[in-house]
Amino acid sequence: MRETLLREKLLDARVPDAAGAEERGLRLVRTAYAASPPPLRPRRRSGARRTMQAALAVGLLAVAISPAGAAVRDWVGDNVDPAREPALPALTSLPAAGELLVDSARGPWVVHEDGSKRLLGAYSQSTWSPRGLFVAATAPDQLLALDPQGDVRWTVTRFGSVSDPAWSPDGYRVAYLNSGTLRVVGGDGAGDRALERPVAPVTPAWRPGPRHVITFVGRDGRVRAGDADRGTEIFATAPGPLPTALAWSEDGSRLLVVERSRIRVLDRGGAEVWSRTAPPGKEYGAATLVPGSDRVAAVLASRAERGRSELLLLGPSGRPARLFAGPGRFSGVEPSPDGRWLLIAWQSADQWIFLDLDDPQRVIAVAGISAQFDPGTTSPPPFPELAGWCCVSGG
Amino acid sequence: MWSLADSGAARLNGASERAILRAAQDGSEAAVEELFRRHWSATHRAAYLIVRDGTAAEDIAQEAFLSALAALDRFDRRRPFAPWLHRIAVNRAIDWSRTRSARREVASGEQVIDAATEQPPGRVELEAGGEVEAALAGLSAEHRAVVILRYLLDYTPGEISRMLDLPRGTINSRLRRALDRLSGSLGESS
Repeated sequence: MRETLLREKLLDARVPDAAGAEERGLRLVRTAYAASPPPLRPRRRSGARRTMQAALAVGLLAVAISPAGAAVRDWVGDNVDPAREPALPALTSLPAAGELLVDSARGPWVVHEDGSKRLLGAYSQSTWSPRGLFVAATAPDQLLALDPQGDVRWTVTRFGSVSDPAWSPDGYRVAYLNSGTLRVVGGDGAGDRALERPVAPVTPAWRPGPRHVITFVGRDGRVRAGDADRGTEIFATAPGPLPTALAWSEDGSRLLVVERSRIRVLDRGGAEVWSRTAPPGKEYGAATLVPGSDRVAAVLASRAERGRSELLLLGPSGRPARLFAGPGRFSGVEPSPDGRWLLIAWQSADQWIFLDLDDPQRVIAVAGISAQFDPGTTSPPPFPELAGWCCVSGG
Repeated sequence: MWSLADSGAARLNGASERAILRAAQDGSEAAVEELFRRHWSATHRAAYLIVRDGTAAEDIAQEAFLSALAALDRFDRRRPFAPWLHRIAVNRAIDWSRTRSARREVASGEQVIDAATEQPPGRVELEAGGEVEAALAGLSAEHRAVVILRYLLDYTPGEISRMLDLPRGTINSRLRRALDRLSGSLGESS
């Protein structure tokens, strides 16, 4: 064929959403270049930056030599150590309606209300779809949607690691991370696209509401929110310590930001509503907003190797209430769908603790959790992680 | 950071590529934007015509730019930027096409959205293929890449052989075979 004609046809071929792709590409390149250290950004360090770093070092030293935390005695208000019942030897039922998703070394399990459970396959980092009809999970280079029987409904394959899926509250989007890039795909597996890069390895959180507002953490510790469909930014907090988790309240009015050194609750616009700083020598671990309230249940653990952990109930005012305490590590906390129960994953004791928030003295302990999610293994299995306690399927 | 504000890239509109590369190597964001503006369109189009998937093409072009920028401090600015960028993009596009043909990507076409409402808001538009895309679909990714490098990006067979690490004879034979097949598909004679 005539080469000139071929050239013309190649130049005339319609490239889908070319303008949008260019805009998104420029945005990614800009943010990647602005946020990345050399060699991507071969900029010389300025004198102002050296001065700021020196001032920061002096500030840190001042904090280190001050008697900070001297007044944290009585920081915890109510000292409620629930009367412990003997631990049940196996999980025979859940104390509330719904299904529990658990990530084990073998993969995600769905635990039904009657205690029966099903292994979904050799995947990791599972998360429920909003009504519990599907589960999103990851393989090393894949994002997958499964039904609760473990059948794969769709997959998206990416170069590099795939992690941290989060299903939007309306079901039409799934956000995930791919080697430092925040990506979003449709709830039917179509339309996969990059939204932002670079981002920190923190699971993104969707804000409940009419728009597809995704919240994520930048590499500089900023908590950022943007409209995933329009590509517009809604807010960005100041740089700071890297959060470990984000979670929105059910009504989309409050955002929980968990950092090791403090718990923060922000409003819809990213402004801080209240915060709680951890006492010296302690740090926050898992935390969750308690459904139907303005309170946060948070694990506070000693930094010492053989320290204790406690589950605190924090609110905008008043002193924290201690709900449960024990030696070692609590690796997770998950509220029941009705908000009445809190499940504490007590890794060091290999137990799950179900705590009745209506009656904190009422505790159900279940022992031997690791073996129940890795049956038949001969070596000590790793402790499974809580991935969500969802609504009644299809409800 | 998500909104696209006016930038200083306009000041670099008339600058030579070498000057822009020098500025980018010195940390100028405006220079990086100017490089993007000069080279995005062709890179994105080339990737799309090889992979024939809008999302993948966008990713490949983005990743090619980011890879090129990551190595910018080692780039010899006496050389042109485009062949370097296009080499990255085209090789990634070939890799993507090979991976896609080797693995099933989407398991099921049935509706799997877990939603209370029926109509997905802001649903992503699916691209419709045109005449030349349909013709290119009859070629392997390797043949499409050679055609795109030669007739869209105007590289010589010698330059293409260096970009793809293939003997020049292989490039010439791929071009001949590809043109023969395209002639049939597009209804043109040579």
